[in-house]
Amino acid sequence: MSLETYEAPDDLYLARGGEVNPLRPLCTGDVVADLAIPGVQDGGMAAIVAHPCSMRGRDARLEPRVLAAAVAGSGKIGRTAWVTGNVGLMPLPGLLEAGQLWVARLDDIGKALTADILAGVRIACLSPFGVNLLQQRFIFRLTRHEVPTYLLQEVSAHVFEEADLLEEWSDTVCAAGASQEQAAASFEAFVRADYGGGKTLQSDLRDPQRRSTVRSACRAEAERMSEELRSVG
Amino acid sequence: MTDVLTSDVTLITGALTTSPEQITRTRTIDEVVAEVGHLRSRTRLLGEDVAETDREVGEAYREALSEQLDAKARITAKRSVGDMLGELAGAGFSWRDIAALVGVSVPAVRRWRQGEAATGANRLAVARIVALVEVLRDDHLVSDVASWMEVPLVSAAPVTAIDLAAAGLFQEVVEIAANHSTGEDVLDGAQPGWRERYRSDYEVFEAPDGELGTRPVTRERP
Repeated sequence: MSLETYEAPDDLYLARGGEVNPLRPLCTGDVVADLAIPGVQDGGMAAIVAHPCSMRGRDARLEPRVLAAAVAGSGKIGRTAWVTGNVGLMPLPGLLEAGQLWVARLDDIGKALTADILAGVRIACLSPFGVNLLQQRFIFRLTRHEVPTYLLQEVSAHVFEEADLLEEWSDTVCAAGASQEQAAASFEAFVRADYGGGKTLQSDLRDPQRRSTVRSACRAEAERMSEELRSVG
Repeated sequence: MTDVLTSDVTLITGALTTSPEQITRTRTIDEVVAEVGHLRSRTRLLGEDVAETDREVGEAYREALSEQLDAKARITAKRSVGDMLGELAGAGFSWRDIAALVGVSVPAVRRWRQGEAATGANRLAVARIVALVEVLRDDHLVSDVASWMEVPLVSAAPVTAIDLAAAGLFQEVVEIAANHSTGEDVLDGAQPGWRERYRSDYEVFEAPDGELGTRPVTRERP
């Protein structure tokens, strides 16, 4: 057994505390400050552990409930100790304070109300590596099966890309007056539109070679839409 | 047997242009072995000289490239950080990759986009990425630099030119674009053991629901 670990706490996070963009779509590994998880906790910190594909339905709308794990403070566990042990935990070093350790308890899980999650305060978003590490530990805990994070990255890279693009799209069009819901709906419509032969920008995101083209197209369309919103408003 | 040796001698004599010695008799096999052995030693030494020269020229090339990137970066750094970031975004780079290349967090890049000032060191780091893109595009004819840098360098590992550049290996990235090195060569130097590290019995596949998943690599039974 040789699970992976982090070099520095920053490797695990995309954003923490005030750096979290409220316009970023909900994603695996997001940590919320206070969340009731039925059968697990009435409140307290929690991390989303559902896979990005399973927390959304066919129309990309969030399911009414999403799988979450309790998060709690922990005594010191060295960086290398995660390679061979503590498989029921996901390390969240420096989550709230540098030098301190918090952990997501992967046995204390349940489906929390999505409405509660969205109404709460997100205090961290994991980086792609952080999400992959969470999934690696979760898979091992449930199945004793060890999947390298680089393979998990290959499976989820297009999902991370889409989340990044929706965040950027929302930044642009919401600044021009659109609501977050309008931003999400217009983004979904744009990336899911068939541009010929059953191809969509969303499906192009699976090909690393085409991602830069998709980004350029989304950026141009978001700018165009913003101009339109400003001229109407 | 004599015919064969005579034929060999003719070939050897022809190859040794620096030895005008006239062959007046059929050589013995011992003489032929000694002479070809000498030739082999000379070619080996020549090969070592060529390899050493190649290493020295490679080093000089990388130093020159570094100077070129620094010079371009110093000029580029006169522009605003927002303008430079806009150029990188326009080229199709993700903000996550730009942050990794500069060595800062994604929120830091977001703040710069919104007008917050960057430190001098970070401003120069952004300028160096713009300079790298310019060199790859203009000097080495990489048409879509962001796309080229996102594709794995070799099929057996997920390492990309963005990973190399984020680790500071700008010159190695240019050397690959210039076809002076292969992805394998660079990975052998930068990540020894990469073949073992990325060897897996699992593969990514598209499941019937259209989503990707992992499964054991299927091998055909004999």
